[in-house]
Amino acid sequence: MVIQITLELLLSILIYPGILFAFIVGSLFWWEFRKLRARFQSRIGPPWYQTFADLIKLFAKETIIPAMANKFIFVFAPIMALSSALVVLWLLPIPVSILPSVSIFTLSFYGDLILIIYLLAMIEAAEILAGFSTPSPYAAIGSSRKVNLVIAYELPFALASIAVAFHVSSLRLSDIFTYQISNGPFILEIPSNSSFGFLAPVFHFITFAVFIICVLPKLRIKPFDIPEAECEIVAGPLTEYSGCLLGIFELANVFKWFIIPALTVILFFGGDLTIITFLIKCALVVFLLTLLETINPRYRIDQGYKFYFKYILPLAIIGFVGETLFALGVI
Amino acid sequence: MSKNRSFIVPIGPYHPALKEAEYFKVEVEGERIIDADIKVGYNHRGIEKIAMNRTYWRDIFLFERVCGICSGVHTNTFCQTVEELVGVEIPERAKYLRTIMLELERLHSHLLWFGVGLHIIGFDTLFMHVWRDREIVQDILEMLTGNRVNYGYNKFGGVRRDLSPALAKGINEKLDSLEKALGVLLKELTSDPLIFARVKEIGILDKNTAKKYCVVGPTARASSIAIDVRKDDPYDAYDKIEWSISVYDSCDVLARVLVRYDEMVESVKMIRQALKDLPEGPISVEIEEFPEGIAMSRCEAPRGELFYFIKSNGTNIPERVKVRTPSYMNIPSVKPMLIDETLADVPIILASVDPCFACTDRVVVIDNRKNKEYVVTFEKLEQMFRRKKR
Repeated sequence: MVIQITLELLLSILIYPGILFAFIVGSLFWWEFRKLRARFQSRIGPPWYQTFADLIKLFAKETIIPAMANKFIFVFAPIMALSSALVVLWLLPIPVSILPSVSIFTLSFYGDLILIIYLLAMIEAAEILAGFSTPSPYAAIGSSRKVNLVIAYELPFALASIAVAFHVSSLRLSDIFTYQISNGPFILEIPSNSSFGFLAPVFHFITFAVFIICVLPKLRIKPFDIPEAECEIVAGPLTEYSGCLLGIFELANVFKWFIIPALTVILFFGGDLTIITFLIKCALVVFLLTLLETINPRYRIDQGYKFYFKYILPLAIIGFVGETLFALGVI
Repeated sequence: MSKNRSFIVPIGPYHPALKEAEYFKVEVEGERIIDADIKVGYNHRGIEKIAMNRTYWRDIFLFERVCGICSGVHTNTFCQTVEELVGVEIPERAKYLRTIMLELERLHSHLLWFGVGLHIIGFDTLFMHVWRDREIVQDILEMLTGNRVNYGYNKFGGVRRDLSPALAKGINEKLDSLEKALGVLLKELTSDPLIFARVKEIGILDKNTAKKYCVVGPTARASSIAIDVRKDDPYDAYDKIEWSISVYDSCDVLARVLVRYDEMVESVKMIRQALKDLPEGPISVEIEEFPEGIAMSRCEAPRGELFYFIKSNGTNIPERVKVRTPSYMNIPSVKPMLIDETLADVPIILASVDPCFACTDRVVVIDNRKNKEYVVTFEKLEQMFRRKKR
């Protein structure tokens, strides 16, 4: 019995819906992003196996560690990014079955939403470390830009995520998930015990908009791909990376392409019983992200920083206060 | 640690923002630029030297390849200079055809520049769309000259290919769709606050500095200096066509964008008018021999004034051909534009003068220790190379 449970747990961690599944779906979402972007720009775009091919190529290539780099941090940073991404992956509640039934894969515990916010920031921190560990000026500038940007967007990101948790009154992701199964998707939800219930979707929408704008820099999407602006600073923090180590960073990025749409769906569009509707919703989120990428040029770092503090942070606070008021039953 | 917290960011010799090998040494403090050093000469091809060993006729094809983008205007100026040397007047029809070709080239060069600029500020979607629309111009050029890039259209005394009325009609139709695309481009450029945020009030080059640096072309016109060879010293059919110079006085990158946009709209109008007024007659006259003497001539290339000088000794090989390209005048003006801007603005400021390095490079070695400057000869270069190898 114990062996069976252990085996099942291992299988779900390693294969479905753990690493392998997330890797394949993340690659396909990334491909969807690139293909859609290409079609929006009237290009042809890559074939579906492009991400896999890129990764295979990177892992087959020689890894060069610059002589002047801090070797420990240089090697440690990508591993830190990948391991953070993997832990987030296992904490996400994902509907497992193809047929409608309440079976969720999760290792969640109370307060895991906060851990996820931290771990997602950890991936960024790993990239910042990677940039500062090399002597390249491009990497240094990319890292310093990233530091600025992280300061700007992490606070509204956390506020938006926790606003949802306040509404559900649980910091546990699986609670948020099961709550939406019984009450419908969060973004459409109207609290029944409130006389101003019709106002709730407005606050939901504000929270959602803040959340989406704050995940853009995490996925290097315009207008906030400032740390990787290729025309200015080549590849930003990852300029000196090559071969396996770059491959590990890219692998973490592939997982991010699964984690962030999945997190968005879990927080805002939940209520899925099957994996298929869940993935369709994720794909729609990726479509939204692609749209934002294609219609925007890149901000300069000072403009991006100002944008977050001038517009997004006040919006996040408004959303947060609104959700809290509804959750406490004040209005 | 010294108090000086600045460090040097190399933009080039190989850098994604630059399409050709060139080196800009930018000294920054954080993101702010405090000094810039421009080093050209990574792409020297010795074209002027080669031109002195070939016949005039073969030189046309050589000068076509000075620059991949403004290939037409280089042959046009070269042919114009030789025609001045010989003293022939080309037929009216050839003048109009040359004008059409030059304006098409300006269109395709500016569209290319818009694409590069938009890519640099990170607007990849519009960049792709602009380059898609640029294909229309390339198609028209192919209809007119038979080639898309190196046209092979000019010859001494006229042009090599005539334009049939059917083709002229086809070109007019293509121009319609191009005009539509330009309208969409303007709408997208002006309706996006993010584009304005990236190009407005950066890279200022005020009028006096611009005069001091002798900038030419759209860069000068954006700094409220109304110079244009097409108006000041009309060649081909520019004095018979109605058109206007666009001059802006805000002196920033946005002004350079708008000047180029206005020029594209003007170009379409000029092509239409030239097609309508196209006179009948021969398209070229014969040239017998090349007399002894000197001649010089200039044209307005898409990037500014292009200048050619020829010294002839009576043989069919020129004794000296001197080319002064517009980028040669414009690139130094990047330095005053860069100071006090942020690093993120470097690529767009560099691009705003539309630098074309292939036609700029000269080999001049400056030895700082001995404080002297000399031009490297081929033999010396060979010697240096051999010494290094051993």
